[in-house]
Amino acid sequence: MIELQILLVTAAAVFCIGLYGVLSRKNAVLVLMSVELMLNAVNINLVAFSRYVFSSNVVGEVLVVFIITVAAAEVGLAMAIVLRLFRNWRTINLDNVSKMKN
Amino acid sequence: MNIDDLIQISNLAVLVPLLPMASFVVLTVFGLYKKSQIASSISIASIFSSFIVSLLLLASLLSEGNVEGNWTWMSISSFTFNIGYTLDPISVLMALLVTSVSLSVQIYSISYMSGDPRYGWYYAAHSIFASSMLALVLTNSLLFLYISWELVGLSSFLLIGFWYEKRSAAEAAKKAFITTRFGDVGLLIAIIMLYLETDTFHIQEIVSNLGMIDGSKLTLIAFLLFLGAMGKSAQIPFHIWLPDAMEGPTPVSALIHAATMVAAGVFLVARLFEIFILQSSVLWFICLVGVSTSILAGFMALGHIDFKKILAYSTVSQLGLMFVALGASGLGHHETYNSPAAGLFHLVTHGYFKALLFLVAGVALHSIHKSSATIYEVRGMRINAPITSIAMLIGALCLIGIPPFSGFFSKEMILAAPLEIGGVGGTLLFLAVLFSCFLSAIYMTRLVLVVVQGDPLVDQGRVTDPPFAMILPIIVLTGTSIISGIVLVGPFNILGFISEGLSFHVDYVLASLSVVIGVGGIIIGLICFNKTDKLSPDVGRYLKPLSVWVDGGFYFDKVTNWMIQKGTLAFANLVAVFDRKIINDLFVDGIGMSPNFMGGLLRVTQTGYIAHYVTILAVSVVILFGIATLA
Repeated sequence: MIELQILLVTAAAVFCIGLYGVLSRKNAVLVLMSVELMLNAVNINLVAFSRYVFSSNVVGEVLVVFIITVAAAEVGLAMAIVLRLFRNWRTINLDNVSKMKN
Repeated sequence: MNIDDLIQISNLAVLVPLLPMASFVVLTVFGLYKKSQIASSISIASIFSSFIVSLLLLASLLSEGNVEGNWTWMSISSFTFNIGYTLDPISVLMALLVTSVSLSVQIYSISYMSGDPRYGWYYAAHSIFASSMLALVLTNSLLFLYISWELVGLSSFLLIGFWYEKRSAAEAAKKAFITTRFGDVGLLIAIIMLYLETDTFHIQEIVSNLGMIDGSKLTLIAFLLFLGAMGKSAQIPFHIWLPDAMEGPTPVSALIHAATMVAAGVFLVARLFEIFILQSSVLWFICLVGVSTSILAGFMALGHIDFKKILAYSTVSQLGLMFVALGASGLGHHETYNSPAAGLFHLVTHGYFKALLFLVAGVALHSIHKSSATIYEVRGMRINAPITSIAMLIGALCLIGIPPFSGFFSKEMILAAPLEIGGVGGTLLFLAVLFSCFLSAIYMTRLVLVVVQGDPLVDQGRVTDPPFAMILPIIVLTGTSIISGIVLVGPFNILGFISEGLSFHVDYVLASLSVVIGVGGIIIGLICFNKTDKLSPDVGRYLKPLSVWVDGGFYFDKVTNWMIQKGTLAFANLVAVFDRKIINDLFVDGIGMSPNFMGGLLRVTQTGYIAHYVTILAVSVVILFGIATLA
């Protein structure tokens, strides 16, 4: 069971790094990359639990493949948004594109 | 109430106030006041019919005695309000006075007011004025009397402020309305107290149930009633509105001073005279107020140079004498003397000759196209206006009380009243009344001398005799002023008419005394004012301190203003501050501002940065999970 714990801790670490990136980065592309990190941390969790807890089937692994596929589409969409953002604002600094205040 | 009851001549009394009221309604509601000729015709026709009906009522009264009609006005559970008329000598006498003076004034106004842009409205206001005054004198219910009382105040407001484009006229109307309001409060309280004590508004019933009311309460009621009379009849300290009321058209002054507004106060005391009898403290108060008003107003009439204001102060002075007559008659030891006859008699005679004098003043002012003028501006009246001058002379002689003019008879009754009281108080009162008569002789002599004599001012235009419609009422009123005294004491015994058993008896000592005083006043007036138009320098030097007081109107206006400024306004400021700070700022604005304030607190968390929101989200998820795990 030691391997499961190592995997979970690794996943948690990756998630936290991703969260930190989301909160601290100003660059929209970097934030997007951090979000991908958080997503992959979840993927690690899924594979780990599938391998060590529910070893009788491969539901977790299959789900991960789905997630990776969806994430690829999502990144495409997100990059398109970032591109539109740059076209409209001439910047991708998220602090500068805030319209909610003032 | 059945048909037979309705068909009797006395019920025509209802028509007397209703006809002018109908004229007012027709003129205003149907917009006829915009058509000058129609408006004046309707108004004069209605008041003329009222006059004729009043004559019929007199005939009915003489043949059938006192009558009254009573109908239920409204009935609310246990309260029943009746409305009705009472025909007794006082009400019929007043109705005749009001209708005849109103009729003369309205006929006079045809040419006096011609060309005025609000000619029709003037007649509408006259109609409601006459109507409310007639309702006041004819009603048998105190409630309805109060309603009419206020209507009289309202319509006088309309007429005094008739030329409301002029600031002073608007101010004068306001002043008259507000000043009389102070007295009205007293009247209203008195009426409510009487209702609570006797459970009725019916005047006769109240009078017959007076025994039920406890003595000190009755004194208070009498005092409050007199307060109402003081306000309407311009007694000190409420006299301040009457001279200012000269801002209205002159015929309006004639009406207010003779028959309607100021007569209401005297009428009220006379009508409720039984309440005042035996209230010796109130009666003495009435005498005191009356006599001091009379003398002070006499001085003010002597000091003023404005034609209409001299007449106004002389009215105030004469009203004071009427109250002295009423008060002293109540105090008299003579049993049969406890009657308002003397005061009412003077009210009637004064009504005619004062209306006459004001109409004469109107002629003078009309000729020089001004709404008010000093007596020096209208000098030389005798040259082009002989008829008017003679009328003025007769009016003045009536007021001074020279026999055989009407004022002589009524003034003698007034002089006799204090003597009936006897004692030191009565004697002092008698002397004061005598002095007031003396003053009136001086100021009337001055007025006539200055106006009739002398040469007209070159630039002012001359006073000329007016057209027929204006001279006719003057001639009629002159005739009435001359004969009313003799007729009313001789063939038609007015005193016995008002109170049975009373008749006019000539007290030769008193009569000669009053004539001597009158003639003495005239002679002194001739000496003082003959040579120069103003006081001769010698006399002037002695009277200088007095004239300072007189010019300031004995400072009544100043004191009133001071009281309003210091007292009322200070209190009003306090209330205003409370309203502004507590009610407005704390409650209204406070409740309004509190969501704003709370929102301001919450707004701090709304930074607009997504990173902040996500941080809060993550932290709160961690905290929630922590709580869930620990629990």
